[in-house]
Amino acid sequence: MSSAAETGAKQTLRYVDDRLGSANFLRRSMNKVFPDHWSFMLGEIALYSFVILLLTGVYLTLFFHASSREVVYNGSYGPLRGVPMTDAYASTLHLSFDVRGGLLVRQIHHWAAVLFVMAIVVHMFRVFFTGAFRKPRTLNWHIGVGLMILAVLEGFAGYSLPDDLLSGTGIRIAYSVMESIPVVGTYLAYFLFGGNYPGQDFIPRLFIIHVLLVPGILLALISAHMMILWHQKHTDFPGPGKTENNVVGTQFYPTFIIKTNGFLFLVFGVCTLLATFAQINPVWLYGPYNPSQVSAGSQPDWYIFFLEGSLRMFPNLESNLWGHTISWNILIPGVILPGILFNLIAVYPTIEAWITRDKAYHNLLQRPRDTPVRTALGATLITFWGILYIGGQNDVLANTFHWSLQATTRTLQVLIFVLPALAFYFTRRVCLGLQHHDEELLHHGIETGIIRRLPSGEYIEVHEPLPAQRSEVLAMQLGHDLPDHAALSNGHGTNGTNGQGIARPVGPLARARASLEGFFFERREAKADSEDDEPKTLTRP
Amino acid sequence: MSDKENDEAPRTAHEASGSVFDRLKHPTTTGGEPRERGRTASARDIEGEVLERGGMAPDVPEKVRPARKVGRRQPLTEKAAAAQAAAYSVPSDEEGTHVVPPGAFGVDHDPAQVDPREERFAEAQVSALFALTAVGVIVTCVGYLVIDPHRDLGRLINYAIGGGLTLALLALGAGFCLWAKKLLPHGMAVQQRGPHHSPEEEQLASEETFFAGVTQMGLGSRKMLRRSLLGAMALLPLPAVLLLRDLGPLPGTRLRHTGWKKGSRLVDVETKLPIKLGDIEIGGIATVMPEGFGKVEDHALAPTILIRFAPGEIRSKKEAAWGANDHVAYSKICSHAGCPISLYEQQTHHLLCPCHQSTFDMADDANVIFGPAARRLPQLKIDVDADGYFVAQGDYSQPVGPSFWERG
Amino acid sequence: MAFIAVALGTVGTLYAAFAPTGEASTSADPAVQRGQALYARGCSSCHGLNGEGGQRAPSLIGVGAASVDFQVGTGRMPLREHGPEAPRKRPSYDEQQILDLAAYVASLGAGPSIPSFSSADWQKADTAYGGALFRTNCAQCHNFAGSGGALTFGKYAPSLSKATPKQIYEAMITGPENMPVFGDKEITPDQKLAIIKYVRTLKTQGNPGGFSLGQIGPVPETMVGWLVGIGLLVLVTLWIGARA
Repeated sequence: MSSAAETGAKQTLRYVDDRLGSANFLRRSMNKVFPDHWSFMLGEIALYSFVILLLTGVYLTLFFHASSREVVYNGSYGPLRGVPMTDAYASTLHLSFDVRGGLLVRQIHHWAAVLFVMAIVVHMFRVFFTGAFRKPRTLNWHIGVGLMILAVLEGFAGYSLPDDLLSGTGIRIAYSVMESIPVVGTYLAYFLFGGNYPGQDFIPRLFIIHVLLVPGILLALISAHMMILWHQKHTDFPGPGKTENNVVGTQFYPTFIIKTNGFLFLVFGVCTLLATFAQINPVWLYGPYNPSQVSAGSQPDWYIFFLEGSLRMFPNLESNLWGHTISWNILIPGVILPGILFNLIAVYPTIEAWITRDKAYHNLLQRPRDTPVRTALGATLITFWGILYIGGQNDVLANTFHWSLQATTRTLQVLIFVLPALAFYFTRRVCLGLQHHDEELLHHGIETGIIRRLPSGEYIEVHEPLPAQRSEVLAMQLGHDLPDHAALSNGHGTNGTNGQGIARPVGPLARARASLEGFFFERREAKADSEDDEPKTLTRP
Repeated sequence: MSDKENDEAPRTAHEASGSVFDRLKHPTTTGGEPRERGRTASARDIEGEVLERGGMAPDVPEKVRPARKVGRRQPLTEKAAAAQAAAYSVPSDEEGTHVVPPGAFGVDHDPAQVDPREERFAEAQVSALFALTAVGVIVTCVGYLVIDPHRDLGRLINYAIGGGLTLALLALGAGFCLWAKKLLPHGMAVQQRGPHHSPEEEQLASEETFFAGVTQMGLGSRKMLRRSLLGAMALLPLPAVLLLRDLGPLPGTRLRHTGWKKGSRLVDVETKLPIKLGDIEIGGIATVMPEGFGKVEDHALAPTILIRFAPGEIRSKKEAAWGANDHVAYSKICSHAGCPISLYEQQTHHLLCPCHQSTFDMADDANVIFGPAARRLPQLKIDVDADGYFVAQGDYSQPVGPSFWERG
Repeated sequence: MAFIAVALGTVGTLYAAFAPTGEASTSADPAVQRGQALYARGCSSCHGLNGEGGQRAPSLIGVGAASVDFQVGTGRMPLREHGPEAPRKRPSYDEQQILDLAAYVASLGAGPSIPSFSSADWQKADTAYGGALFRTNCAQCHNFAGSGGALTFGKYAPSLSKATPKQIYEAMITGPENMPVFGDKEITPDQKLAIIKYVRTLKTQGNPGGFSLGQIGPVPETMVGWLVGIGLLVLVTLWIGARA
């Protein structure tokens, strides 16, 4: 660095510090350590997609007219010239065909939105399966769940704005879902849409929801998410030299910041790549919205698939009680099911901590196999959600593979009960099996393939002990450093007796908790061939 | 305000605090018994308490941060192991970062150890990537200025701008990453985590401050104040709710009317021409609206499909009676979620909804034979007028479209 | 496959009620005679010796030349196997043979004849008007871009990408299989040409935003998002995260 530039930089730092006293904060921030693992960058994909969404979104607002006013299209896309349509749709066409690069930016925006929600979901899987949501990071999990829900809403609002035939169909369904809510549903729909569907008011209102209200909340929550992360420091997997009380990795400045900057540009680059070569949401093909028209294979964007699927698969129940209609066939799959699903996800950390009586701080992550029940529960949820997800596109599958549409739905209606249960069973078995394998590795070492004959005539295979460092890490991963759960003096047994066999009063909640606890802490069989009389070990949740 | 006379004053903050809920009811003077109005004490006043320690901040030593070298790591030496041990044995300060020598934790790679030639090559690689970024930007700019934006519907300019940008961004990102990976020190810094919670005395002190405030506000003891405040706060959102009232009209009976009237001719939704007997072939369908409907958006519940059957195909007596000359008219708005349905199969007489796949048997009064729809599609009573045109005999006899609470 | 046969049969019987019965007239027209010979060899085993239909296939009396030209010209007939839907395949007859067959079937009873229009006719039609008609009358089954879509119980509305203008026209006037019939009084010939213009325009205009991804909406877009988008980015994270 030239001395002039150096002096300039110094002066700037001084100038800021003289006014804010920021030098100490700056130095500590620059020296902050971030652990290195590829899976820790999944959340960054979401963060950077959001940055891209803000940048491209601002550009799009310069051309988009959020208005339901009817205009006659007169732009350069021939097949729609002379067609009456809303200003919203016409301005989207104008943006796509008469603004140089407009279509590209629109496609970057849409692809970034698709990747944004995908990255959030994948990031949540990582956090869930590694136990990163445990204390002290419970609050950040809640914020994360809120972000996920808002991202889905934001995406839905965004792709509905162009007022094309496909998105209009989606809004029509959203209106019906609102109508299905008992007592207040009709009023909700009327107030939001300004009357009967579709009305003149919805597009402008949706626009402000999409560009101001939800992004504002998203921005605030993302900031909180990042600040908490910064404050609590990142979790890490067990590894050489890593403990619950330290972070091992790269300093924020300069290495991490250069890397993460590079990643920002790569995420942007991938979005641009997709936007250049993969056409997304071709609204000019869908045509303007018209309540009397529909297209075969009407699908929402991917993050709504599961709702579409649940609406498709739910049986046709409706009841009429005391002069009031409740359409369960919309209310349950469209309102109650996502409500339960999202709430379950949000409170899971609390439930798990309550069942396992885990009040400790956790900074080291777990491998999925080390927590068979949690992993199996996660697999169950993914399977359940996955079947709804497939249900949301069964017409496209049926058409592609020439299956019977009705048969696919019937099949999925069965599978939604069968597959999650199977997923639970098999995932847990696989986790336990992998754990056994690790235990064996730890206790007996690596199989060398060398067979020795003992003087007694017995044949044995020679096992080579693990390198010290590897066995140390493995022991940590398996939770050997944790106090044995059975040894914890929690003063109760599963049947309401304490350690001494003395009965004591136990409420139903405590009993439920005790049995759930047993379910979480699978008692593992001690290996039959183990010479050392180790106590029966327990898996961590 | 201290309570020096009280011999039974608690010895620690813990004793003084008791249950926070008790304190809300009986603000602290002593162990938590009901206090007399106007007397209060805080943990700070309690003898022997350790709260007076230069403000509320946790105990942070004045200045113990060692001067540390950040940046390139020392070359690998025999002292590495000792240094690693040192890194762990020296307790770190709150935010301190310890740079661990290479070779620690079994990681051998160290950029500082890299062959200078390799390092020069890496620098060339990174620079080449940055140069590619420049190329990409130029491609974008030239494409933007030179290419006819309407050629191929803009496909060409899209490729040029997008391709250039993609190249620029991917090269820039890759350059940054390669720079970090090959030329910057990475990994192997250790930072101690601070405690996740405040020291206990700090927790107690902040609770104390909070409840002292509560005591001063008198929310616990001044019932009238508390209740009137609660009442006021409960009422405050009312104006906000009221202000939302004019977002839309009240539903009233609007959802029960579609715009069809007695005598409205059935006109084709697209051509707006009335449909005459014989216009539709056997096995044909048409989407129709009431004559003079203006815009479909204003009558989103009115779209209706007119189907012509071959004689004798209609199995439902009611359906045939409500139709005219083997023509029947049904609401096009699905009784499930309101999608317009007209995937009509002329031989099986199935009508399929593309949204959620409810399937209706149109020869059997739109009976639901599959899918989530719970109700048949409403049928529109039609007739043929003197001129041979189809006319509605009135509005639908039941609300059209998805269910709602007031539907009955 | 049973019900389609039944359904086809139903229509057939109806036509049979109005159609002349007994022996097919021996026409002097050589095309009809050639067609009869072809018919006897390739079609009569299912449709009956005189087109009266049978257990497995509907009557052809009164279906008209357009229907034959469409069904045989798109390779749907002769049927290879019974199924919910007859798939499009390479025609088994050449153009002249198809015209002969059509002439023969037309001679059995009156029905829609093969439309005759030149490409200049439909090319001067109004694309935008055709688009509006397409979205009202066709898109619900054939999808917004004519990519096809699923119908009930294994049936499907085929993609229009391979359909020629004449075949699109014939399909509208004859209503093959489960497609509704759109007669000339409902959708006039000019409107039909406009629809054809729109379908052809969609096919030829190209995709300004890159590869089309099948033009069937968000499902393939999602797959690309997972495989290319998330896939590439995960590879990138692996590359960045990997120690050199």
